[in-house]
Amino acid sequence: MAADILLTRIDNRLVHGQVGVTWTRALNANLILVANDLAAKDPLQQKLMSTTADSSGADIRFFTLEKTIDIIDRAADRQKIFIVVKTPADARTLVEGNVPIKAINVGNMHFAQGKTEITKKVYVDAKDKEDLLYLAGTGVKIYIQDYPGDKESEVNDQLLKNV
Amino acid sequence: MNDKINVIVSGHGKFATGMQGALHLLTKIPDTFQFVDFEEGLSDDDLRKKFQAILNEHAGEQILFFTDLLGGTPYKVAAEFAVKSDNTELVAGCNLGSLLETIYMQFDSASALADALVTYTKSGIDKFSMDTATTSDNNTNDFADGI
Repeated sequence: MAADILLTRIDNRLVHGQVGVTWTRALNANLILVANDLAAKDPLQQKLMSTTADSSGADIRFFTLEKTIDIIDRAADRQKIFIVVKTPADARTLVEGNVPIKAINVGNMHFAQGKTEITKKVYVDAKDKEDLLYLAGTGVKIYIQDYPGDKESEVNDQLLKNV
Repeated sequence: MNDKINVIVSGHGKFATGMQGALHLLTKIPDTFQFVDFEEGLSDDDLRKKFQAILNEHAGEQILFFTDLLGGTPYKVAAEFAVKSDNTELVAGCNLGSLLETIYMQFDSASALADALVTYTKSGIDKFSMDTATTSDNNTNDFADGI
């Protein structure tokens, strides 16, 4: 059986209170997979994100993008996986690496110089737009949503037309 | 979500609306939550009336009072209601994390929710240290039992 990936979230804070507790619980995930090259070698970040996961009773892993692609097929049936990545580019790398992602939630993408506001929490530049639309084009369900159960805004050309 | 258990958060000053603001950043607050500030100038009786008004709207339903301080006025006033009804429970000194953890869980009764709030409060306090082993096992290449 292919890995059971419940959801993939793009969040530039990776795992924090809202992600670790709210999303993990709402999804009923039992494994948070942080796919991020820097976090995979940063003990402090791992310690801080593990604290959040522990309180939800979920396991947590910190893998590089490459390792995630290499081993995702080894996931056990019992593992209900919630992947967290930092950027649309990283999500794209996973999808291009055949990680079986069906749905992507766009969470926090902070403001930076040259980025256009899409929602209060999502700012996008030309590179982000290219990656997001690529992902939408693969047939993956991709949407902006703050909290589980909240309003979903589908990511498409229309939504990103001002970028 | 606990759509059947009404939660009344109350505390000194802006504790309740402060908790509301914090929860708002973290999750979608269920409609079953109410936030009652006990502010300067309010008497015990004013607070009692505020609680009573909420309880009147939810007669016969499960009620949980979440108060800031053991022995404080919000706690003492809430206790008057808790002692009179099997459907009404009261906790004091529980934290933001415990509320957040329980919002997405189901409970059969206010009593079960109260127990969970106390448990999660205890598990959610910590003195930071890098020594504590994390649950993560990143360097293993043994994936016989999953990743």
